[in-house]
Amino acid sequence: MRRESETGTGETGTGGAGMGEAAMSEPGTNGAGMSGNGLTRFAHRVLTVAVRGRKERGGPWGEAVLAEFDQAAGTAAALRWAAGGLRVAIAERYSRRPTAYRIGLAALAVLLAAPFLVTVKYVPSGSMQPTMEIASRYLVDKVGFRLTGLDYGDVVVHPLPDFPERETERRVLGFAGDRLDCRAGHLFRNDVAVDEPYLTEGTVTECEPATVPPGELYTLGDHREVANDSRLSGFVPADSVTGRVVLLG
Amino acid sequence: MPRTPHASPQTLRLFEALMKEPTTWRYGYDLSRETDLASGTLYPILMRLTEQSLLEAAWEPSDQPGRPPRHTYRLTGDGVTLAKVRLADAAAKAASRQTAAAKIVRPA
Repeated sequence: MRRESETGTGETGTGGAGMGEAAMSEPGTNGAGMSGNGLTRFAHRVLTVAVRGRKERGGPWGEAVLAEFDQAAGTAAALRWAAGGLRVAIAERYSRRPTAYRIGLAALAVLLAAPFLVTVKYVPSGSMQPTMEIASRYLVDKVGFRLTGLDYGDVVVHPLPDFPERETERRVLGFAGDRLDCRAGHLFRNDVAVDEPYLTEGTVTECEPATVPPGELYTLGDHREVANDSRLSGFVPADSVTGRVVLLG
Repeated sequence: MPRTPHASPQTLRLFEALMKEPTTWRYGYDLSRETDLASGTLYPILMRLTEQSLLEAAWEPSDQPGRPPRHTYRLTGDGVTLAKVRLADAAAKAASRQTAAAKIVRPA
């Protein structure tokens, strides 16, 4: 393989000269990286550091991208080249490490990121019984619901409208525009009875008719007799929701 | 069904560019421009192909003083064979898709 490469280099003597001519005929490309503006030089610097670190020379593929850098004509092309080069440098650097090391590194990254993504909380009150017992633990997803959006029946965490310093768990039952009312102890949304299998049998829901304004949610506790929820303290701003309960434990 | 290796559209574009003159050594930047692939897409493909001895890579000293040597690439014999197969497969697939589309437009 190496010997082939050697002869290959010999063969390209003429090809190389041809490329030289091509470069000559395009004066703009010649040395654009060196005499380029600050942004280009900065991109070159970043790429060099990413490829070489503190060493004299980086891996062959990183060096290959770096060697082509001054072919890129113009700042935009140079930045694009450098951005792709970063990917190459990172891929090359980490592919050399043993698999166990890479798994360890991934685990560390997950551990560091996890507190920002999910968290464990305790249930402070009985207003979500029987779904959530007092002092039981549950897992909250703090980011995912922002991407996927909420749905009817999701249990979310939000501060109580009348006690903003206290967070609590409630079930989302109405989005903006929904009209809610109670008939014979059952909750109706837009004149349709809401199926609520999570309630204790025989639960009576009493409420005043309400239409959810834009940007707000209608949330109730599963323990309808005791819960201080949207029936009592009003609508909950949708952007005050801090998490969605994903796992009960 | 197992995935066919080296059959992605990006790899096919690279094969096409390399197969124009299979014996010529090519520069990464020129390949990137010709295939319209970003460096972050092109080089991982080059790395993969080289690892599997489908492509050979060599350093070519720059003819201009003060500039670093450049990395050059060309397909190996195996690489040429595989590229021919993959490009023929892709062409056949495109043709059959076209006839299928024609059938949908003009039912016989």
